[in-house]
Amino acid sequence: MEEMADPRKVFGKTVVELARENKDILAVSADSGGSSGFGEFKELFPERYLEFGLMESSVIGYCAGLALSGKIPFFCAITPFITMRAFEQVRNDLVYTFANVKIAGRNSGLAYSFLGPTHHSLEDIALMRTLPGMVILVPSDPVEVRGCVEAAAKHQGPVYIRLGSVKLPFLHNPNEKFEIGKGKVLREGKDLTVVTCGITVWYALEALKLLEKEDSLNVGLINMPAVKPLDKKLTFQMSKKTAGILVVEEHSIIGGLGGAVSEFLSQVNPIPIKILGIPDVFACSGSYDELMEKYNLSPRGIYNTIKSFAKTLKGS
Amino acid sequence: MIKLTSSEKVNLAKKAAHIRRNIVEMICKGKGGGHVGGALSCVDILVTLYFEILRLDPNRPQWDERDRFILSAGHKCLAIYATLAQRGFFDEEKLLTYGSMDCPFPGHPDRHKLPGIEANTGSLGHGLAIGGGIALAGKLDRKEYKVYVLLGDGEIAEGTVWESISAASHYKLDNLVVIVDKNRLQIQGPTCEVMNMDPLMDKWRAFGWQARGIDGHNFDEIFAALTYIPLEKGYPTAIIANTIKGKGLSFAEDNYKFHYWNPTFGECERVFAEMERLEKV
Repeated sequence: MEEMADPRKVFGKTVVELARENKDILAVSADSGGSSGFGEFKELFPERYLEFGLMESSVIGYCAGLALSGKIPFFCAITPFITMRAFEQVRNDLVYTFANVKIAGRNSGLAYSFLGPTHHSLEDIALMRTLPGMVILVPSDPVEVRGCVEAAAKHQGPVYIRLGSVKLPFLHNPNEKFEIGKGKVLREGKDLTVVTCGITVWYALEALKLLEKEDSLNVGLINMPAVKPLDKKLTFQMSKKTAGILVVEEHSIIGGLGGAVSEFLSQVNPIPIKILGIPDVFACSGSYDELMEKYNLSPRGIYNTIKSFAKTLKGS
Repeated sequence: MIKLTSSEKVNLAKKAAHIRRNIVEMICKGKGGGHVGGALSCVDILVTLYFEILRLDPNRPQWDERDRFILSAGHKCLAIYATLAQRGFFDEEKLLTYGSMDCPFPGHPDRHKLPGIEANTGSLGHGLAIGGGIALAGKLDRKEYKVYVLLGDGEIAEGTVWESISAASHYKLDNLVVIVDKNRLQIQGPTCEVMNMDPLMDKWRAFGWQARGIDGHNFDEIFAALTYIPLEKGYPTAIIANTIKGKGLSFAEDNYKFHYWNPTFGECERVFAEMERLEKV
C-alpha cells in the first residue's frame, strides 16, 4: 500500500470505479477536471465527461438539469468557485430543488497557500451548513475520501465533499465502513477532547503523540467527517465524559465544525468549547506548512493549544 | 407547412381568455398580490405550447419522454398555474388558494408542491442552465424530448443567461428552445432604459444559436415558430416573442407599474367585468 495519497486522485479514481457500475454517473468540469483527478474518467468514459469551461454558476444549473433527468453528476472544482461564486445556484438549483448532484471542492482551506485569499476557502463549510438538507463531508485520509465518494453516490440528494490537495497518510483501516452522519472516536479523554475533520485529524494525532511523550493529560480525539448532519449522539455522549472540547479545523472560526458543535452543545450540554481555526481574517499567502504553523494548526500549534486550553479548564 | 385551423385558433383564444381570467381572479380573490404584467404577457405563448406543442400527459407528470417547459422567469407563475389547471394537471378551483399559507401556488413555482412544475425558479438567470442540463441529458440518452425555457427580457441582463447560452451551442443542444417574452418593461421601467440588451437576435446568433422573432400574441406565428424545432439541426433555437405587458387588462397594458399588482376593491370589480367581456369575444 502507498504510504500517502493525493485526495483528489483518490476522489477521481473512486468516481471511475463507481461509474463502471453505474452508467448515470457523470464527471463534470469547469476547466478543472485534470486537477480534480478526472483524467482517467475522461479517457475511459469520454461521453460522460462534461467540460464546461469557466462558468461554475451555470455548471451547477446544468448539473441540476442533468440530475432532474436521472443523471448523477460529480462536479469538482476549486472550492471558492464552486461554493461561493455559485452559492445561489447551489442553494436554489441543487438543495432547494433537491437535485441529486455531488459537488466537490478541491484544494480547500489553505491548500492554495501561495495563491492567496481569492483561492483559499475558509468559509465554504459555513456557507454550505446554512442550506437545509445539505450533506457536508470532510474526509481526513484516503480511506475516508473513498468512503465519502461511495456514500455520496448512494445518498439521494445533494452532497458537498471538501477535499484538500496535500497528500494524506492512511489513518483508517481500508475496510472501515463509512457512514454519513457518523463520527469516530479515535481516543477517549476526560481532561479535554479534540474534535476535528479533514487534514487536521492527522495533525491532531501527531499533536497527541507529542503530548504522550511529556504530559499526563488525558486527551480524547474525535474524527467528525460529516459536519452535516452532525453526529449529535456521539457529540452529546462525548460532552458528558470530558471537561472541555477543542474543535480544530482548517476553516474560519466562524460557522465551521466549531460552529456546528457549539450550536448543538450550547443547547443541550453547555461545556467549555474552544475553536482553533483561522481567525476572522483573510489569510496571508505563504507555503502551506508556514500558514498552518502561523494559525496554530500544525501538530505543534495544536499541541500548544491543547496545553493552554487544558490549563484554562483546570483553573476554572 | 402545418397551420392552425380557424377552430383551433378560436379554441386557443378561448383558453387564453379563460387563463387570463384565472390570473386576475387569483390576485383579486386570493390573499396576495401578484406579478400580473409578465404573467399576462406570456399567456398566448403558454397556451400554444401546452395545447398544441408539448408532448406530455397530465396523468403522468413525471413521464420520462415528456417535453419539458421551464418558466425561468418564475415570477410569471400565475400564468403557468392557470395553464396547468386548464391542461388538466389539477382542478381549477384549487387556483383560488393562491396566497394562502403553504398552498401549492407560492409566489414562485416549487416542483415539490405542484405536478407539472419542472424547476424551482424565481431567482432570475437560473432556468436556462437547468433546461440546458435536461436537454443535455436527453442528448446523452438519445431521447426525443425537447426542452422549452421561457425567459423574461429583463432577466437577460443576468450573466448566467449568457453562460448557459454558450454552453448550449457548445453542446449543440438542438432540442433546446428559448422563448423570450419580450414585453419591453421591467420593474423600474422600459428595459431599453434600465439595461438595454438589444439587439437580442443578433446576440443569440453571435453565440451560435438560430433565432427568429415573432408576435407573441399571434397564435399562427407562435405555432409556426414552435412547430419546426430546431430551426437548423445542431443549433439551439431562440424565439424572440414581442409581447405586451399586462395584455388583456386594459389599464395594465404596457404599463410597468403593473409588473406587480396588489389591487384595490374597485380595480377588481372593473377587472372582472373586463375579463367576462374578453371571454365572450
